Amino acid sequence: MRKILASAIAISLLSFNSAAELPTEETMQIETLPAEYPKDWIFVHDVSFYALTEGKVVILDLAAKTLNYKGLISASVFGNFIQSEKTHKLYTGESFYARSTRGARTDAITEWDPATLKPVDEIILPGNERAQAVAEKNALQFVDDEKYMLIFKFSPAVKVGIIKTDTKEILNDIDIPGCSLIYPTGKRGFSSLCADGTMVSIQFDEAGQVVSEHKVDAFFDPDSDPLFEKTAVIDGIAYFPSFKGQMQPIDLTGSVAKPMKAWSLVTEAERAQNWRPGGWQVISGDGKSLVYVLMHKDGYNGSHKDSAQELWVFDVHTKKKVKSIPLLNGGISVEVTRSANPLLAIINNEMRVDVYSADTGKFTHSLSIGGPSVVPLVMHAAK
Amino acid sequence: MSKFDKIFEKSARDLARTQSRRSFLSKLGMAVVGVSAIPALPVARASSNPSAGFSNGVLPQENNNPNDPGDPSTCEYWRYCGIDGFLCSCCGGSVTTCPPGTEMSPITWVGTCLNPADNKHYIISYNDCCGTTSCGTCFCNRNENDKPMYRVFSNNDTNWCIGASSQTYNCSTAIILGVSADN
Repeated sequence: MRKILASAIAISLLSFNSAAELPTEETMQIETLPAEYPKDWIFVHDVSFYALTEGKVVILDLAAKTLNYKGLISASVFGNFIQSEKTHKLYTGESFYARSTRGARTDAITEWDPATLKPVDEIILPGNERAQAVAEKNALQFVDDEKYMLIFKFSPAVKVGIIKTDTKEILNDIDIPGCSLIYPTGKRGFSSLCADGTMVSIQFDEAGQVVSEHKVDAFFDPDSDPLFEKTAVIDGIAYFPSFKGQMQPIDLTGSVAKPMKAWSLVTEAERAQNWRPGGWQVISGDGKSLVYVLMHKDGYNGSHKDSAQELWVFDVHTKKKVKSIPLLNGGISVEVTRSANPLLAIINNEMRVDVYSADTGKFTHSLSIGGPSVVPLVMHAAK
Repeated sequence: MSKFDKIFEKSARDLARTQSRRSFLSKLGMAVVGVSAIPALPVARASSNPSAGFSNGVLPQENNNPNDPGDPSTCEYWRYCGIDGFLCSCCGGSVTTCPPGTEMSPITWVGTCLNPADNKHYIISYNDCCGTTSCGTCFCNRNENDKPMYRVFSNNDTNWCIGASSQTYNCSTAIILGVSADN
């Protein structure tokens, strides 16, 4: 018996020794990313309602067959996010409290290195008036070829902060009473949507001082059919869907916003079935001719944040629907990548990111950015 | 309450009386977050089963007032027609009170909801409770008459805890301010 056991051990040792031994490994290694991201990558902003200080922006590779999750940056307390197209640096508007959830508040814009995902600089915002609200793309914007960075403030006085991007110098706060958010307009300015169904358009000088301010005549009715504050821009024209399915184009190429003729997203038959836009980021555009709008049937007063059943694709030049894409797991937000074969990212009802081919409308796979408490609401295609 | 806050509250109340719409708070929420844990809206709201309103692990609250019908721990409760956040009723507070350790924001967004018991519209003040981390249970988002951020006093996506001394959002109440002039 002892001999048998000894033989067994010998055999097992032999077989163990015959397997290739794993080499020793280095510790302390950290991944990096390319300084310029592939166009199939996307930023997914988790607003983290269940722990607002833990907001984050996750970087996903939508096209890869594996290792899709590339990394993340923080975006604390109703954060804002934007990526520079010129330098590819990343920026988050954030709020911090001295004792995490309490104590003195500090607002800042954090600058992140896209390759290392480390914070490399910050702009402290005096007054701590950065608007704390559910993530909006138009709360943090660049204007004038990214020379200026604009941030939306609400305290509840409403202002737009003007910052010089390269020097990070805070130039000015421009009051926009009764109006909201930042839609880059003209050479060096912005427009804001206003409570009375108008827009205000402001141009400023290199010192951030207002040089012109125009209130556009009322062009929509916020009571009967409000415009979503979300938009997709194609050739300088911003396309705003309305709650009941109109599309309002606004020409933002000049110094004053010019509302153009609105057109309908729905046919009479579709209107009768109450097909309406809905979700959070309800619209995305390919920057050329197509806009993608999340749509749901049987709309009602209050359904404008409901999940979509279909994604409708419109050619803004012909003003016609070119495709309807059924959404397998619903849709709360949409973004289209800038890649050669564009991909559609849809935040689904389970707060995952569903990926569809923009060309064929076919669902390909679903990606997660975390556990059950994540609340990804806005996505930004890599530039 | 500061003079500023009083002015603000008055204007908010006036707005509600004259314009009859609601608004609300901070985190938007649409969507089911953690499917089984939170019956969130509006996705789950499509389901009209009232019993589906309980957050998993939150027991029903008895309500014997026939004039104020419904369970305030469910998203279907009539006062929540424009709410967006965690229900204080599930968080150690109630529909009119904040949980211990928090502070009620004096700045408020107001809405108008129909009480099915008397078929009257009531002005509802969705004061946030602030100063601790998110309650995390009974997430509820309904958007009747909610407007985008350019109508901020009718917008439930804004953190109204900016009116409190400690601004972290915890939960939301739904307090009756009066009967709407619209009735």
